[in-house]
Amino acid sequence: MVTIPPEPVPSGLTSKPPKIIGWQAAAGTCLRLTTPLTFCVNAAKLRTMDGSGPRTGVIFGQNAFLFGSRFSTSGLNEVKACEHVTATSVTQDEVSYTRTVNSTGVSKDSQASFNATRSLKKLFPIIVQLWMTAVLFVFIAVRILASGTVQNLLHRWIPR
Amino acid sequence: MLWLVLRALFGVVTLALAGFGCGAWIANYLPVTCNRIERLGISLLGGLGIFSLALFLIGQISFSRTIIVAAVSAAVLLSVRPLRRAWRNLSLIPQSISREAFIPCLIVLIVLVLTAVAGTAEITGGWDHDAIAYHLLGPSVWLREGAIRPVLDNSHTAFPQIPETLFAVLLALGGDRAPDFSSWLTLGLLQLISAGLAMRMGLNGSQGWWVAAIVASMPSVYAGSHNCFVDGLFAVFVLAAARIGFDAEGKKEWAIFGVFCGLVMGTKYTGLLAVPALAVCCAFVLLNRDHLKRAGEIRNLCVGLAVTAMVASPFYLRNWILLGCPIYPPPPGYASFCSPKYFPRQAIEQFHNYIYQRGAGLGRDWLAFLKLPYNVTYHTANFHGAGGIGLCPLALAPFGVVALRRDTFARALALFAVFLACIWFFTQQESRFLIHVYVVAAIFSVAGWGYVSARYGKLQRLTAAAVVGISVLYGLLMIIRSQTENLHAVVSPSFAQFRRAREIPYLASFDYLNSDPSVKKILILDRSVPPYYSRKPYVKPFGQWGELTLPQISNSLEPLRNVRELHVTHVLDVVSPVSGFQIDHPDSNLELVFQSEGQRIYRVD
Repeated sequence: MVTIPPEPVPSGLTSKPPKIIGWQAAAGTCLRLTTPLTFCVNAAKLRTMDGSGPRTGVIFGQNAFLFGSRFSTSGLNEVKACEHVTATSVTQDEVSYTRTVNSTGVSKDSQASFNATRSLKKLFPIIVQLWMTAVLFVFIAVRILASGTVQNLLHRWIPR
Repeated sequence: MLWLVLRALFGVVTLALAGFGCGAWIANYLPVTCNRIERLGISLLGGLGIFSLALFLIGQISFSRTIIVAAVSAAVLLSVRPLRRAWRNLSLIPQSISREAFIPCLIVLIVLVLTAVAGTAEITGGWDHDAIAYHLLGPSVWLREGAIRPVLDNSHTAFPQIPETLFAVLLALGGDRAPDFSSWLTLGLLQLISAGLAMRMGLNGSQGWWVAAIVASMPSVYAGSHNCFVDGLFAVFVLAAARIGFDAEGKKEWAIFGVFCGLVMGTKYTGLLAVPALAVCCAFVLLNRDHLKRAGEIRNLCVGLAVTAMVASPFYLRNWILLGCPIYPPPPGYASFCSPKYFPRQAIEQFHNYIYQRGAGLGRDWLAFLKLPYNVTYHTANFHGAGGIGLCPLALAPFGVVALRRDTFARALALFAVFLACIWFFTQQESRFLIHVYVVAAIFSVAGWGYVSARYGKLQRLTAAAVVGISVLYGLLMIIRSQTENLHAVVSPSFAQFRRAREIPYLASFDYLNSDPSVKKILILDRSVPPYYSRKPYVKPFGQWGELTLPQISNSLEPLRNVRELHVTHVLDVVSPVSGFQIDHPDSNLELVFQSEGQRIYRVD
């Protein structure tokens, strides 16, 4: 990994949250910010279009690079978090990481992190499916099967 | 009927214009993150509150129809310029609705039209119907007596009175159908603020519409937002205050936040608990902001809270001066700190027992708290829930929380909802008191829906859509069922008459008393008789909750001895669920002039 010395980072970058122009973009697309952020590392604060939370990405100047399929640019608050990045919070590693991402598109760090959580993530769709099905099933059981009409029918078919 | 509908429509539109006239300036001091339509909605909402507050203050001196008309006219004139500007601005916004938003838009429209149509039916019911017992009783008595004063025979008319003052304006301008007819406006504002909050949290336009549709189809939300219930309006004020407070910067924006918090406290006593919770959440947001500005913003928050106290104080000061207690009737735990007038200790205990019994819910232990999401979803008849809240919050909101977990605004809103739910759980577990939390749950549900749809496979997408579809359809079904009688009464005059006779207690007596010109003042002996139906002045020695309206009275027959001093011309005696006829042997000065089943009217000679 090539280490590049960090650019100077001004503290209190902007008084107002920067606004991103554009709405939706594919992975790796460059977005332009109306307010320049000189050096905001770990811009994993940009919200994805599907509301799935932060995506790994970086912001350079007025450009934002995100990794992921789709993302929304309406979450100004997330970009606002970049305001808190000051010179002290930018480490050498982060800078090199950022620059690596910028040059190659995929960092080794993010790949390792991805591998670690991949097995857990595989379970999520099953949990989500089970949860929603359970809510629906209980609703059907409680509101429909337990209703007077259905009970009367059941009693007719299955005499006590 | 058409005349009644047109009059009600006139009343609501005029009030909305007046509200906009009073609140248009608010749009200039809202956080930059508010979009144009949101600004319009919040301005109208704030304007309605400010107009009501102004009328409440004027009404302490005089509250005649002339004064109301003058105040409304002035406020409508104020609305002309901002309305033109708003019209111009709105015309710049694309008017077409995207394809994804078509279905939720239709759902919202169905609910609003249903509410408007059903709202033109006459409000009927007995002393157990809140609108009849106090929400409309106060305004009708104020209009008759020409001043805003608590009606002593029902202590609930001393509640904070922002919605009731608006009802009084509607009664004066739009007739007796206008207050319930105005529910579509309240519901519409609730949906608009809900969608605005959702879009602030990163959801797109069509998702905002879905939030509005899910909120509109929650039976519990609906139950508290029509039929002259004030919980819907209260929830809108709370949510608008949260919307402003979580993004506020600078003194002016915090002052507007304070105005809305004041309106919250001026709408319902529960606002006294909601506002501190909101202040804590605002402080949480400030702690997550730039530390350089933090101290200044905390000072500004204090300015906002000072404005809150100013806006809300008239209601509490008035009660303190007139009734001996700022919070009247005193809730449990507070009665020992003040001396409420006209409310004997025994009656207070009876009132507290009612609160404990009504608000018991399904228990108050930690297990009951953990089971709350399940119980609120499936035990729809509990918590006086009138149909529950649908499936979306339980099925999808947890994923929404996961999706928005790093968004400070969303975290603050979730924290606020948890605070409010805790307060509700430990005070009075009545479903409609939790509308604002249901709205927050709906926002997280839609965020969760988007999260599931975008991240997972087709099966999950279909299941999530099925959850939303079934939930909304079930909610609509419950809402339509709850409004069937009102709709029937609107289209069928014969059914309206039948329902009137069935649901208005002692209708024959009220018809007699209201139509006989010799009736000047009525003595109502039974505490369960709802005096809302009387168009003539009345005296009711014992109130609904055991209030004592006349000094040194120990039973309801004692006033009969000095009916002349009370200027009473007629006495109404009835058989009720709480008592039989109270006059067994009428005095010589009482002449029986009307008798019906369980009802007798005596003329005082």
